[in-house]
Amino acid sequence: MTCTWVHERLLLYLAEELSPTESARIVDHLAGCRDCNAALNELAASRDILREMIRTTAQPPASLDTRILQRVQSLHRRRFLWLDRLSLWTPKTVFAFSGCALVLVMAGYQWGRWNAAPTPVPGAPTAASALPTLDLASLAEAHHAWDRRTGSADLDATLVAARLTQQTGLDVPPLDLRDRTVRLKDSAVVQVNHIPVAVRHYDWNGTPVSLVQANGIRLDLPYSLRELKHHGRCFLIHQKDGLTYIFWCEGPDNFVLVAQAPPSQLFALTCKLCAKLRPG
Amino acid sequence: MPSLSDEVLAHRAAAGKMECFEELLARYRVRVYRLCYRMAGNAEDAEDWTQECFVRIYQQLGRYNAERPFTPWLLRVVSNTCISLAKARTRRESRIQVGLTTETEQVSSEGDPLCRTLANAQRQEIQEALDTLSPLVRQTLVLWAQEDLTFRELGDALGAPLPTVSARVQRALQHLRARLLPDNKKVRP
Repeated sequence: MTCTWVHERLLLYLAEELSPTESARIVDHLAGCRDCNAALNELAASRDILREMIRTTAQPPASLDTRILQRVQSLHRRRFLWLDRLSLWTPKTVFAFSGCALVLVMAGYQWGRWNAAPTPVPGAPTAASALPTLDLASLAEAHHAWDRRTGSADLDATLVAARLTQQTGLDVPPLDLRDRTVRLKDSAVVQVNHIPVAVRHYDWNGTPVSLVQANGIRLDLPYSLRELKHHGRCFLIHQKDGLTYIFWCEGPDNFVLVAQAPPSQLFALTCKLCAKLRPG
Repeated sequence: MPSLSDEVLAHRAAAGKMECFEELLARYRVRVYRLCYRMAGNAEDAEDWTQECFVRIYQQLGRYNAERPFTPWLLRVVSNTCISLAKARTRRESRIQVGLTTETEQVSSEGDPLCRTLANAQRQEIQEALDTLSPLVRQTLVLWAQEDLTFRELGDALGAPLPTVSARVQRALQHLRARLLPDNKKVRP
């Protein structure tokens, strides 16, 4: 502890506004420091004299109140003028005004919804990325190209997944639904915009279903389709030439389920596949 | 009205009750005037500054939190107003290089003429000594002396930490002691 430290706190010490620890340290120091003792005594003696000298007993003139109130009242009138105007508003005018405001807000909201850009699928690349889009025609062609005669036996889902992974470079998960209604019958690699896409063909209670998997970083989803939100996930649904397409994203990949089936039925199968792709 | 606390009055005044503001003015007019007097250094400016302080108090009442004590809040507004007015005056004076005529405090006409003259001279000397301090230091010292605040209250009023305000007052006292209490007048223990 230095004399400077003590000097800086002498006034607080005299005013008894130091913590007990700090006061004790100063008392210890003062016991052995003549200079600090002298400074303390001088400060103690002059403090009260100077305080009395600085204090003034000057009185404001009575006219000052009037001046202050005149100025404040002019501010007051300006400040509360608009509140006075509110008193002109009858319940009828307030109700009419509120109604108009509500109609305008709702109209604005609807206009905003109509003009809003379609919501991108979460996790999918944005439309601004200018990627080639998964072509519906090539998907339909791949679906129709499946020759059910050649794929009569059930295939091993793990082997098919491994082969497709090797051929396309995609991380193709084995989709063994362990469901008698859905059987893996065939697989193929299709080129869409010269990009390899994995296709698995299933037999779904006699209905042929194709599951397409494409790299979402290289191939975009078509966004001008009907959007369906389910359990916080986003699906795109499209129907064309008797086929139903359901698009969704899973990690970095885009998936499409294609079948000649009503959307509601195909969506049930989609949910089953999604649960398999993303357990829990 | 006199039974209401300052905090309640301030809250009502903020809501537009002029009579509450008038009551606050009646309660604080002398205290604010004296602070302004010491800061301005003359009666004429002190009146203008007091008026400006109350105008600012009125304008800022909407921001006052009635759950906290009113006096420190008021002292803070007054301090800020006085400091900014003092700074503005310093700038103005330095531009036109003309000093203000200092008026001495109104003293009683009663008593010994020699005592009155000496008292006037002393007051002028004190004011001149105060004027040599910067507006911020002067305001701190005047608040401490005039309002008899603890350093903690002073810190609250000025929005500064305790060690800062005490150091400011201590430096100012040392400065004034050197000017007003020369060696022959210095108080010896």
